[in-house]
Amino acid sequence: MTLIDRLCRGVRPSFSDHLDGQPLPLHLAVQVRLHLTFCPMCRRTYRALEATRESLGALRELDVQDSEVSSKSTNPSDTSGR
Amino acid sequence: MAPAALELALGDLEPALRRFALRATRDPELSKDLTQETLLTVVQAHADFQGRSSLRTWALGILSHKVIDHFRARHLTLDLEGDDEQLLETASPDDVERTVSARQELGRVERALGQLPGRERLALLLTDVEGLDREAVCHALDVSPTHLRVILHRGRNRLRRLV
Repeated sequence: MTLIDRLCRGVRPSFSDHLDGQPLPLHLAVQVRLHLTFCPMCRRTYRALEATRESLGALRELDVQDSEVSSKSTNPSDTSGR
Repeated sequence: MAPAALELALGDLEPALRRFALRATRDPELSKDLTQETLLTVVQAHADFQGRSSLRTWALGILSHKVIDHFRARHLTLDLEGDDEQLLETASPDDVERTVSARQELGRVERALGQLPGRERLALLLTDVEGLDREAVCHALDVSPTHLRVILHRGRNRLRRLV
């Protein structure tokens, strides 16, 4: 594993907290910020997570019809997301 | 809260609870039942409601417990462990484009949400869709803040890969 891989793996688990404005330990907050400025791959991942979160927020006022869910998942705890 | 005011508030709340239950269970009939049970619990227990959160947050917490109880009673799996490696993979430019465009086509997000493990789906529904704060979500799901952090991390990454 390269140094950049190790750096990426060190900060990515904190992206969700950073997106939510959750307080991070100072060293980690600085690390995330710095890393995002120099790592284009992590910037993409961060942007994708941000877009995912925004999309979920947009669902709030959107009505969901029975037909939209009943035919698409038969098991309420479907764990086929692998 | 006076009975008339409570009835009015619950009438306003019912569609939101129903939407949440439907997204959480993916089962129209079950979601109706759980919504009704939740409304009944709110009516029966509203004297105990101390107003530390909004009525909506409180009701969503009750409903979340009912969904989890349902999953457990049917021995359905709430979690999916051990695939963080895959979840931590870098997003490709295509991933980002697809995720951003999913914002315009929310049906894809809705469908991807249905493929998440139960607890991740509930955490994302409560946090990102309903906008509850993390303390309320921890309470609703009976998890610690650290555990919730992990669930959100996994859920958002999994959803990002599914849309």
